[in-house]
Amino acid sequence: MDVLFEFRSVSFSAPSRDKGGNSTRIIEDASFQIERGKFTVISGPSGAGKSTLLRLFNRLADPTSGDILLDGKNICEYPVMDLRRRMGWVPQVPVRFNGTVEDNLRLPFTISKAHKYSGAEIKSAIDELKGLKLLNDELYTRKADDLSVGEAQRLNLLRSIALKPGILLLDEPTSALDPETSDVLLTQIDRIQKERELTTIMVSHRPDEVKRVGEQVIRIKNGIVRTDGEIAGDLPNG
Amino acid sequence: MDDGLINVEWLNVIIALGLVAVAIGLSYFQGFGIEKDLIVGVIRSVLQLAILGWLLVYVFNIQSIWLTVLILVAMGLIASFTAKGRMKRPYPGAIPVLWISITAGSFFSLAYITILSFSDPVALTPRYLIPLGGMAIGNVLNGITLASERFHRELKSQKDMIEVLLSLGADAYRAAAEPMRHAFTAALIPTINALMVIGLIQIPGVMVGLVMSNQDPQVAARYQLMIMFMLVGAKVISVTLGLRLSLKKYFTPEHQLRSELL
Ligand SMILES: Nc1ncnc2c1ncn2[C@@H]1O[C@H](COP(=O)(O)OP(=O)(O)OP(=O)(O)O)[C@@H](O)[C@H]1O
Ligand SMILES: [Mg+2]
Repeated sequence: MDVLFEFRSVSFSAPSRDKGGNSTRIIEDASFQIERGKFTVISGPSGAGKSTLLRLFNRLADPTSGDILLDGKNICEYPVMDLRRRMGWVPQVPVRFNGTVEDNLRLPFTISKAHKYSGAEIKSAIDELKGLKLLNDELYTRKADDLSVGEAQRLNLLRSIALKPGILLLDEPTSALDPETSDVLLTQIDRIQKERELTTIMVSHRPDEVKRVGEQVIRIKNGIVRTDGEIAGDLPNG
Repeated sequence: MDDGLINVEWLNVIIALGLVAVAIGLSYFQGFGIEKDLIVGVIRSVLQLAILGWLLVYVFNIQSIWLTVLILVAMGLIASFTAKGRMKRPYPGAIPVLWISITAGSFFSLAYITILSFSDPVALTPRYLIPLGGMAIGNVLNGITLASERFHRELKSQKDMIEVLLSLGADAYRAAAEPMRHAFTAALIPTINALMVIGLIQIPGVMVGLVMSNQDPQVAARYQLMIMFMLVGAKVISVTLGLRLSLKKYFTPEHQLRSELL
């Protein structure tokens, strides 16, 4: 097994909002591995800690204890901004920035001090994104605020892969979609994953999705993580 | 006195108080219910200004520049506690941040105006330093309060956007650029508006004082301008510094948004 990520006894507590208050334990002693190039699904009921777990991968938050290894090296040893640029992250609630859809896609290329892109590079990258046909052509010049939630989710997916990351972190990317559209999007994600050989880690609480795309499943319930290679999991509420 | 200023005794003040009595009466009969606040306000203003007047007599006699600076430092400290008190959710370590920012902006501008602009040793006496410094500190206090409040509010409402920017490899400064810009503008707009309309509707305070004490209105205008410019400089420096320093509180060194502070 070609291990990309390894979690070793990772726990996470959310710091208290009030001075001297107690922190809330959300992830409890999680140990598991993620295989390179595979489609991993994190599944579990609402409030289980799925989103929290996903944010640990790209260090939007750090574990309270335990280690996360990437290619055998603690993720804290990589410069954090470079680490994040290796991963695309799609938040559970789609985020749009002011301007058109295309402006939103240009954003990843303009926000890093360390990495500069020429106008031509940006244009060809955006053309390539458009070529994926995730959004209808006429949408690119529209204001991002005017998109439907489902369209905005696809915009978020496009923006997250703009920098050609090797790892994709998706937090319920189909949550706002009807079954049909979500099926289409899932197929597209699966296609992109295969084409670009992305290691994809997707949060989903829908058994049908888990079954369809999950090559590896991580089940989480009340912060307790269980892994099983088998898709037909042993936790009934998975 | 030969400066043309009418001498006022407490009796004159008491007569002026008649207007407040009218206000209290009106509020009472109309049922507006602000009598109590008015009375408290009047009592506080009388006490505070009487004490201030009495204190300034002593302060203006201070010969030591260091003692004067010490008084200004203390004023800055009081201002930073006031600013923190006005924040809905002050971040930990707010007092040092506020104090450094308030002091840096107001002291730099005060020094600039008195040493370079007035360019006269008299400007370095308490009679100039204390009122000018007080104005700078008070103005900066308002600015930094507005900025802090707005910054916090924007960080909270733009939390999701900020995290997307971070996930794309932006540093904390870039990720929070938009909230910072909003906070900065919110703090500076009152000052810019004041510059725009100054002298059009009312004669600004310092000018009123100088003109009433029989000074040349043109000199008075120049005084007023120098003070306005000092206030602009002080505010911009303090607000910029305050935002930059508080950014370091809202984010971890690893460019993670500390959402528990929002
Ligand atoms: N900052 C926080 N402080 C306290 N508790 C938190 C914090 N963030 C999350 N939680 C709690 O941790 C638990 C896990 O949250 P998380 O968002 O990871 O759940 P989830 O599995 O993604 O759920 P959903 O499927 O509804 O999105 C929830 O009970 C949530 O209330
Ligand atoms: Mg979630």
